[in-house]
Amino acid sequence: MTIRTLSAAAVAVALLAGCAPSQVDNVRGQATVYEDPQSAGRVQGVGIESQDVVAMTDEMMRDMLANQILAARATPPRIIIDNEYFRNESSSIINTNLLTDRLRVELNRAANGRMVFVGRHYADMVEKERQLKRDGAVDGGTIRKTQATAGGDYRLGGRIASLDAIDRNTQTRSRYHQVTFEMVDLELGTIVWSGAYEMRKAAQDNVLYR
Amino acid sequence: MTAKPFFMPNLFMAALLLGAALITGCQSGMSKKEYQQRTEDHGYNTVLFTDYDLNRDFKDGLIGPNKVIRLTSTGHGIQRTDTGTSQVWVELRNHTDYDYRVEARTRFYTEGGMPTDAEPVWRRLTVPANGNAVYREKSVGTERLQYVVEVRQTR
Repeated sequence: MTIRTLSAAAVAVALLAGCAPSQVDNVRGQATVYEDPQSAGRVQGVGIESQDVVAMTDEMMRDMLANQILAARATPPRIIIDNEYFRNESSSIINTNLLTDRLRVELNRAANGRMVFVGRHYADMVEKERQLKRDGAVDGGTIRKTQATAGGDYRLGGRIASLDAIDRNTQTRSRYHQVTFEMVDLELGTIVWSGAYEMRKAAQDNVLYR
Repeated sequence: MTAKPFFMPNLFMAALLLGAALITGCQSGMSKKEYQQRTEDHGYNTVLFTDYDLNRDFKDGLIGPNKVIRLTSTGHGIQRTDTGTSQVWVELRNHTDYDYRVEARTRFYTEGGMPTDAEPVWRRLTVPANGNAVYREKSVGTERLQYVVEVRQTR
């Protein structure tokens, strides 16, 4: 009786095992979604993210336009904004062009002639074309001829610095960022405008920035 | 004695109808006060708590409070900067025992009511427990402007 019961149970187990699923996980994947770059997205960590880039560049832009030296001169000052002197010394991975490019673009659009922007990062492109014109390979164009390209009055400098802390018990990490923006007089070397953006974030997730 | 079999089903039906009516009444959506607050024309030069958890004037459900005032605006205004742009300020007061991290943004309008200026951006600030904090935002244009400040909890 016992042997018969055991045999039946074994057969049942074997049958069930045979029916056990070896199946494809046939569920719908997560579709790509657009997110608002001004707000925190689904993937969040302690680094500098899109909402921080937008917020800090917007704040600096509005502040520069309220500065008399930069935005209220009878002759608009020539300004260079690129990442040549903008350093990332923080533990966050970020392309500093994200900050300087957005700042320059938004400021150029908003300034509407109150500032003139020198495209120093395009200097070799301009020099090549000027050389072709001077060599007679191409004609002089329709705008004008100048002896030299524009010199800058002010140039952006700045730095991203950070301070990290980690709680070993909870593996929560916290990072404080301090991002400084400064506009330097290119003749005198004085700093005519400064702005700083601070933030501290804490998270447990191990988010990877690239 | 003979009326009992007829009385019981009638009573049951009446109770059922009353219950259904009550449930329908409760599910009919927002109250008049909530509808009013959600749809009222706020006008210009105002501070809006777009997050109703922060500040609302309607009952939140059957047992919810009538009025929620976690944060309020104690004052706001606009002034010109040295270069002719405008600066809006709002002082927020926290009525709770907890720090509140909020976001605020300002949309500027011309005197004729047309949205103008750079696209508004959410700016974060912390309003300390039972304390105050000031939010400031500058315009990029130099014309006379009106403003609407929106405040919500940090996302």
